[in-house]
Amino acid sequence: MPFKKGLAPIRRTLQYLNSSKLVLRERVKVFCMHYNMEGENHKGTKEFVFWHLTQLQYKNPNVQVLTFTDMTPTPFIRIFTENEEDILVDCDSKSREEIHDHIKKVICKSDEKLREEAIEREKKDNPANFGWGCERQCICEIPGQIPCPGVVPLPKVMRGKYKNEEAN
Amino acid sequence: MVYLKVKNLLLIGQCIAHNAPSATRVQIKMQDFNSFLKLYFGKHVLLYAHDPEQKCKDGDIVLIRKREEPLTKYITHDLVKIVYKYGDITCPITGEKVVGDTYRKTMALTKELYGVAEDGTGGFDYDSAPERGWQEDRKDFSHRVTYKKYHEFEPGHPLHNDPTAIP
Repeated sequence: MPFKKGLAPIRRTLQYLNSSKLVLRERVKVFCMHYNMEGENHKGTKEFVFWHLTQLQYKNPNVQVLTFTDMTPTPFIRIFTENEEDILVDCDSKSREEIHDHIKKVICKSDEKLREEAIEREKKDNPANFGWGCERQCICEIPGQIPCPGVVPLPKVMRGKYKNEEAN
Repeated sequence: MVYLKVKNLLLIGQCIAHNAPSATRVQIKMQDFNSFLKLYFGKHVLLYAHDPEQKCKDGDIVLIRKREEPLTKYITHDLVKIVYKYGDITCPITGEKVVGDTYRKTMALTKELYGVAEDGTGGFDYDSAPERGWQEDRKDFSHRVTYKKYHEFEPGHPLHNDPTAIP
C-alpha cells in the first residue's frame, strides 16, 4: 500500500473498494447523505461517510453520490430513483453498522443477485471469441483459416465486385 | 482542467446566477476517480435546465433530469423539482422548518423565553418576512451574472451605471 497518506489509507486500496457489497439497484440515480459535523446523533452517519461512501461511489459509478453538511438537525439519507421517487432513511442516533445493513437490505442488490451477475460476467469471457477485447483480434490470425485480405488478396471468386460485374 | 462528461439521467445541483430567460444554470458536484491515488476528487459541472416559469432562485438545491433531445444548444436538462429552497429548508423527516442545526420552533421559543431587548428589533422574523427575491432588480442584483467594468457609459446608455458591472 504505497502513499500511506491521510487518515485510514486502507480506504484507498482497490481491495477495500472492491470488497464492498453496497451495489445499489438500477433504479437508484442519486444518493444524498445529510449530516452535521457536531452532534452525538450524527456520529454514526459521519463514520458511514468516512468508511463506506467512497466504496459506494466506486461500486456505483453511474450514481451521483453527495453529502450535505449542517443543513438539518437530524441526519438522514435521501435517495432519488428513476421515477423521481424520494426514499428517506432516518439515521438519527444510529451506528455505522446499522446504517450499512439497512441500506444493504433496502436499496442494494442482494448477495444472490451479485453472485448471479458475477457468473454472467464470467460466461461472457468466452476464450473461443475473437475481436476487440478478446485474446485474438481476427480469424485470419488462426492457422488453417484464410489469410488476412490486407496482406494476401482474396481470389476473385470470393470478391463481391467481380461477382457483381459478371452478373451484370 | 479535466472535462467531465455527465451521462446521468437524474442529478442534484445548486442553482447559480444566469442570464438565460427560460432556464436555470445548475452547478453539479461530480466525483472524479484518480486511479493512481485511488481517491475521488470533486469536480463542478455547469448545466442549463429548462425552467420556463423561473421557479428557481440562485442558491436553491434542485433535481434535474436529462432531456432526450436538448431544447437548445445549451439547455440539455429539465427541472424536476426544487429539493431545498435557499434559506427556507424543510426537514423531510420531521416536516418542520429548519435553520442549520436548529428548528425554527426552538428559535422562536428561545426568543420568547429570553425576551426581546427594549431597543432591539428582535432579530429576523421568519413568519412576517416577505418571499425571497422581493428586492430583485431594485436593490438586489445577485441573481444576474456579473462582469468586470470595461467602460464608463454616458447617461442615457442602457449600460450606464449597470449594477452587475464590477469596477
